[in-house]
Amino acid sequence: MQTQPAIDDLQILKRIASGDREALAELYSRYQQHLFRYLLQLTPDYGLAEEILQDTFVAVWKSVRTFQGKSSVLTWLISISRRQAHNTLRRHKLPIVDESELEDLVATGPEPEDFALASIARDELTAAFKQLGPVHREIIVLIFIEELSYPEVANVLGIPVGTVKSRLSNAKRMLRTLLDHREGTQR
Amino acid sequence: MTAQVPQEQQHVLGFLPAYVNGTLEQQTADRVHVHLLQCETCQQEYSSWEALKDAAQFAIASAPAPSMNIMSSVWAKIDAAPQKVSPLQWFLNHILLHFWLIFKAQVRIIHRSIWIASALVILFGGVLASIVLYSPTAHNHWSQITLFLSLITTITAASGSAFIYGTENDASLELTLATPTSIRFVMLSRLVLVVGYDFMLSFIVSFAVSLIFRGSLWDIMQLWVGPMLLLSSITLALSLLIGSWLAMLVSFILEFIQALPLSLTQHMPALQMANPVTWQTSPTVLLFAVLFILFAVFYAPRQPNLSE
Repeated sequence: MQTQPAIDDLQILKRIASGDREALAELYSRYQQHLFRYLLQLTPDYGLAEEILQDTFVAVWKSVRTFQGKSSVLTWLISISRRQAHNTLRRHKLPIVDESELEDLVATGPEPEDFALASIARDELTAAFKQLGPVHREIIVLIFIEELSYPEVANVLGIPVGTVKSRLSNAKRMLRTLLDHREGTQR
Repeated sequence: MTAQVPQEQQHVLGFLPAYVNGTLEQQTADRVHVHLLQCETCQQEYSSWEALKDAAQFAIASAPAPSMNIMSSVWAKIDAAPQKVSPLQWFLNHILLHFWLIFKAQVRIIHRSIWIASALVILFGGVLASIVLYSPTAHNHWSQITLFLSLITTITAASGSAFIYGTENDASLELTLATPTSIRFVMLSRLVLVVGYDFMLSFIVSFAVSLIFRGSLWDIMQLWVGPMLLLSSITLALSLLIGSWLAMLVSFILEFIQALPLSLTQHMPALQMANPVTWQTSPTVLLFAVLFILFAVFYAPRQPNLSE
C-alpha cells in the first residue's frame, strides 16, 4: 500500500512550487527530525548528516514539481535524502552501503526459542542496535521509527518487497548474533 | 497496511512488524490478534519485534537534533549563482564518469574463479603445450603449438563469457534491479572485461612463443583473435537463451569441430589440429562476432528472470 500524502502536506508543496520560501521552512520544521535521525543511521558523522539534510531541502526546492502524489511526503523526502546521502558520501569517498553486508535472501520463518529478544534487557538491546551496520539500522528505522509500510520501504530503497522482509529478518538475526557475541565476551 | 487476511491456522509472521506498529487494517489486525492468542511461535516472534522496536526507539530518542542554522545554509545554497558548465564538461563529468564507475564496478562483481581459471589455463596451458609439443626433429612443431594455443585461448574466453551474466551467475542482481543502471551496459562491460582480460593473457603467451620459436606474432594472433571474439559472443548470446552450462557445451563442440577435425591417418580415423580459413581472423568472422554481441545486448533486458 502506498500512503497518500496528507492534504496539508500537499498544500505546502504547492506553495513551495509557487516559490513560497516560508512553505519550505514549514516543511523543514515538520520533517527535519524524521530526516535527521534517518540520516544519522547512514553516517555517524553529524556534520555530514547536516550537509545531506541541507542538500535534501535544496533538492526539494528545485524538484518539488516532480512530486506525483503517489507516496506520502515523508516517503518522498526520505527517498530524496537517501539519494543525496549517496551523492555526498560518494563525493567524500565513504561507503553508504557496505556491499559485504548485502544479505542473501532467507526465509522469514519463525526462529528458535533461543532467538527471542523479549527477555533481553533494553539497555543491552539498545547497545546492540547501535552496533548494527547501516543497512540493518536503516531498515529498522524505516519500519519501526518512521512506520513505513513494506511497499513504501521497497520504494525508498529501490528493492523488491520480498527483499525488504528478508532484510528486516536479517537485521533481527544480526542483532541476536551481536547480543550472543557480547554475552560471550562478558563471560 | 492492507494485505491478504491470514488464515487462522497459518502463522502470521509477515504481519507482525506492521501489527507492532499498529498500521494493519482493522480486519487483518483482528485476525492476527486471534491467532496470537493461540500460537506460541507467533507470540514469541511478536515479543521479539516489540522488544526490537522499543530498543530502536530508545536509541533514536538520544539522537541529537540538527543545528538551528540549517535553513540559512539551504537558502545560501539555493541563492548561490549556478555555475556555468559547458555541455562538453557536463558530458565528461556526468555521463562518462557514470559509465566508467559502472564499468569499474563489474571487476569486483564478475566471479573471481573466471579470472583465476583463465590465467591458469592460458598461461600454464600455453607454456606446457610449448614444452610438450616442441620436438627438434619434427618440422611442424610451430604449427602444432600455435594451433593448440588458438584452441585454448578461444575455449577459455568462451567459457568465461558463458558465466558473466544471467540470474544464476549474477551476485549483484539485487543492486542491478535496485538502480536505474542500464542492464545492457552492465553486460557489455562484463564481456569487454572478460574477453579483454583473456585477450591480454593470450597476447602475452603468443608474444613469448613468437620470441622463443622466432615466429611471427601476427601468425599466431590471427589464429585466435577472430575465433575468440566470435565464440565468446556466440556463447554469451546462447547463455542468455539456454543457460550458461549448455552454452559452454555448445561452444566447446563448435570449437572442437573447427579445430579438431577427423582425418584418416594410415586408414585409421584420428583427430588432428587444424584451423580452417573460415575459423581465423577475417572481416566476416569479426562481423558475425559484432552481430552476436548486438543480439545479446538487445536481448538482455527481455530475459524474464531479470524483469520479475
